Amino acid sequence: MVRKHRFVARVLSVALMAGIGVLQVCAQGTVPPSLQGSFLQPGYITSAGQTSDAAIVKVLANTRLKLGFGYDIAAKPQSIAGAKTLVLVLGASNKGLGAAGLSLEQDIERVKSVIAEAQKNGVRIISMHTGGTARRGEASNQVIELCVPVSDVVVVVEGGNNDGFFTDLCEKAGVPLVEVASISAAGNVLKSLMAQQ
Amino acid sequence: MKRLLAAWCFLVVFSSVQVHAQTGLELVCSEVVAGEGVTAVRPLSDFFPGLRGTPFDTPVFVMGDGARGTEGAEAPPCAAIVAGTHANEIAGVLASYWIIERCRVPEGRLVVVPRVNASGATWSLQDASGPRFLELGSRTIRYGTRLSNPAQERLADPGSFVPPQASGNFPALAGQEARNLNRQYPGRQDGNRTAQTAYALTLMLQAEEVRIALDLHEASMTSSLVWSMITRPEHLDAAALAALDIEDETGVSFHLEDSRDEFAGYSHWEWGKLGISAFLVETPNPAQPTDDPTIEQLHNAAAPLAKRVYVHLCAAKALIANAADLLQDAGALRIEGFPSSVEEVGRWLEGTL
Repeated sequence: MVRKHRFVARVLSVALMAGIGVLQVCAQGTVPPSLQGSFLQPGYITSAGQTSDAAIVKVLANTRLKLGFGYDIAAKPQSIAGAKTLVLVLGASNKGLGAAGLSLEQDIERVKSVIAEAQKNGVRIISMHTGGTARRGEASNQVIELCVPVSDVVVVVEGGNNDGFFTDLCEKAGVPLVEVASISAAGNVLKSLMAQQ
Repeated sequence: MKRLLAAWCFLVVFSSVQVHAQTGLELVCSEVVAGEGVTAVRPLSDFFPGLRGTPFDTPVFVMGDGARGTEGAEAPPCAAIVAGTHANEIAGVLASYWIIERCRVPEGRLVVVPRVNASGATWSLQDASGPRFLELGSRTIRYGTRLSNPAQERLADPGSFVPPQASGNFPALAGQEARNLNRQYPGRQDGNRTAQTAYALTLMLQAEEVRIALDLHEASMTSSLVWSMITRPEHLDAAALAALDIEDETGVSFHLEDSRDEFAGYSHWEWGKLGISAFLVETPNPAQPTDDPTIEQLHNAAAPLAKRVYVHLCAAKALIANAADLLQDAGALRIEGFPSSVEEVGRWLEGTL
């Protein structure tokens, strides 16, 4: 009898843990309490893949939310000196890559070097994908696969995860995923992640 | 009998010439009526007389204070809204018709060119002899094509085409692209009619001292350009702020694209060279790319026309407001009369507003 109860308790606890895990990945627009206010200033924004969506995240963070983040769409490792939070805006854009005079491979190398610098200095990483289906595809997926596993949290605007690509990657890497309905809502998530000054 | 036959032939040819000689002015003015906010209507040929009397001449609707700033005073900023570059991209045309009919400009000036390539509205992919017509309540509009009407050109298409100010290593485009207005900027005085239209528009933008210009387009549902704004890197902040405003108002999340030198001949690149904050806006059109005539436009489930027109109007409002804010030396530019909901645009389209 006791054995049976233990078995049931184990099954329930496993189910509960799995449920919490799923919730951590799937809760719409909900920031896990453990992450709220846990990212420190100063923050720095760059793109991964030269998407101009980085410019939207910049004005969202700085003009609307007054977070005062540094910004360079093609930041180099030295650009993030002193930063405590790195925001990577994910998405490959041929037009953006062309404007920066970079190939996708060169930009991936740039992003790898920025991530390495962040990891060396304990800078925590927020990855954001705001471009919807237009910023999904083979090239974008390459930068997403590079950045998601090294992130502390991933924020995706509806549409970008229609195929569950982010869900799968985040589950495999154990990275919390926050899905939101709009770019403005992604801004609210960003604000709630940042520690109050 | 021979005389009778000759007279009949003359009448047929004459009537045909009459049809082809309809200017874009007449065509556009059969689709839109200037509202109280319009202070002047000028033919584009005022800026380049070579277009006068041709199907490429098209009206420029001036709204707000037509006068320039007096000497020493701050000139009121002027914005331009251009639509109908591709005559099958109808949401932009209708958005500009809304502005012409219902908006007012109490401060600053606005010029609206609702069908900049009027020739494109005179034929359709399905019928080279005429456009398709869309019945929208009490309004009928033409559903034309992406390119100018070849029968109305003064020059045959070249074997291949390179935009006027493209760099030396620019890859040549198909010859028919010479009739794509959005490859012809800044235009050519001695080019085909499409190039002359681009030239006339460039002269108009300069003469009117336009500081902010929008080019309203549509793309096929599967295109990566759907719900995008394209601008030069120096104007991305204005576009980004506008994208947030548009999302707040419509729920549509736009993405941004950079303009650069590989876009020689495009409005967003070439107008930018004139010092203008230029933006190209794309909404989805479910009938593109084949202009499928069986696709219902007004109540299309995936992309209803009212929503596309409404988003264009919200984009125009947001882009002009944010770009004007970022112009350091500009006076006030205020446009009133934008719709407050997609339903309002729907009622307008159906003639029940």
